[in-house]
Amino acid sequence: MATIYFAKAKPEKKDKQTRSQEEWVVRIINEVFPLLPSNLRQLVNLLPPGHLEKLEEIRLRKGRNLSFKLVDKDYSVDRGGALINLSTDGYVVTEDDLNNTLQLISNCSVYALEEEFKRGFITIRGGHRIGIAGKVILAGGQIKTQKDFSSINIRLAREVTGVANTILPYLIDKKTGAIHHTFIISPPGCGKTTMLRDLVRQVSNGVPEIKLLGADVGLVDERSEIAACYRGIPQNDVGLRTDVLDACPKAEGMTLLLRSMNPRIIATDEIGSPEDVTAIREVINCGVKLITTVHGNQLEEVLKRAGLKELFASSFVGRFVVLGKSKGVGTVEEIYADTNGRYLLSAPMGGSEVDRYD
Amino acid sequence: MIKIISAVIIVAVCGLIGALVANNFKMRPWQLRQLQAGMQMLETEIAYAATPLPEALMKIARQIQHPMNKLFEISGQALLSRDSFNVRDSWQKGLRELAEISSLTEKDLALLENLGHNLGLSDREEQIKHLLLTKEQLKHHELVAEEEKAKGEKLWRYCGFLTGLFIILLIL
Repeated sequence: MATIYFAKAKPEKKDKQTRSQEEWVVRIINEVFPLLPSNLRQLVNLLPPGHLEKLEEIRLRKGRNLSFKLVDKDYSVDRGGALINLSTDGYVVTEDDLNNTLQLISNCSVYALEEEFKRGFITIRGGHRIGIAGKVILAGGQIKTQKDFSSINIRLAREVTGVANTILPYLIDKKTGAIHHTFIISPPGCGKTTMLRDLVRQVSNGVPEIKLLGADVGLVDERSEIAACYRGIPQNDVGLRTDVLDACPKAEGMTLLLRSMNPRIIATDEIGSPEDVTAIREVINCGVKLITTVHGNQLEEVLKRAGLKELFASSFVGRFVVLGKSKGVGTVEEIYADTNGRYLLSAPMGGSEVDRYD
Repeated sequence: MIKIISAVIIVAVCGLIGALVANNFKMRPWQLRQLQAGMQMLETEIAYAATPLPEALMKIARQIQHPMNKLFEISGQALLSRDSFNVRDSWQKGLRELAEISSLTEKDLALLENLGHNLGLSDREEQIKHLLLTKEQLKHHELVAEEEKAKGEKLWRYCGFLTGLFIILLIL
């Protein structure tokens, strides 16, 4: 699914957009609906395609209303399949609904997904992610597994490509033609993982228009969110030259990839712990470039954080991309060239994702 | 002449009924042993290979003898074809067939039905526990069945004939 959403779509682009929306609805029907038991499938089949198109989450909570997240509002559904507000009485999820869904997800073999239950989520074909919560069984203070499941959350993975188009030219080192160390700083829900994924894809493939050569990328996908591997195959496009280390802790993963795959660039999500910083130092010392995301609102705030403070102590040169919501989800608020706060943008760049919700 | 023919028929029918009942007594311990072997295989598949249940059931169906393989075959097929989407219903389907063609008693079937409520629904350790428990209970049923066999098999085999003869004596 190569879809590029432009802020002002021309008529022909609009066609492309509608077509991709139709493709998306077909994907939901083929990849996600078969995981629901037949009684729930009947209900969701009644949802009009216009609503399906906006579907982001399906939540099953035992004894509570079946709920759908469309863009950013929650709805429930009555027995006739009409969308209603979550607060009103809708279809109530039963224990059987939960168990049957689990059986369908696991192909009647919950025991084969033990590791996944331990982690709390399962990635399925298409890169969609199913989160589960129940009663945790501990062994020696560690989570051993879960049982008596009470909630299932099906999150649809909608890949948005092209969001990094606007920032990519700012990230290239004019002297070497390679990419700078890049830190994407963003509060939750502003599209930092989407941005990272697209960045990885583009630097891996290379972009001839801006004379960026493709480079080998090592991707540590601790939460299986970036590449969303299903049986070893990335379900999201992460580029031609990308090696994925799936479900591996970041710090160990980064050093492992340095040794095993000899990458030019290492990418990972949500750094912050002291171990991460040690691993990052090693990556940087090896002359390998780093692309990563950091949780935060502002550059100053991130620079004050323990661990990161030491990393950036001696005027670190790299690119700090701050994301926000001022012009919609995925707005690039600022790009800094170093830790001293030298900025490259005069005004925020509209999020490429903005149009997605129109 | 008619009297002789009807007498022969009566003895034959009674004898046959007796033989059938006796056969049930004879076959039940063997069938229960077959089931235990099946549980053992299922345990191995789940514990060491984490084979998905539909495939595991089909695999076992090929390895154990008729008629016990039907339970695994039918429930496995039902799961593979996805026509009944949960294990309980598929397992039930297999059990219904088994009730028709095997010598198992209602108690045996109820025990197996219990397993159907848990099969595939929990982690490995829990599954092994359920299978072990079922295997133990089957073992117990087998012992009882052996005892009943010792008493019942010969009794019914002769009883059939003798009842037939008795009826003839009464009629004559």
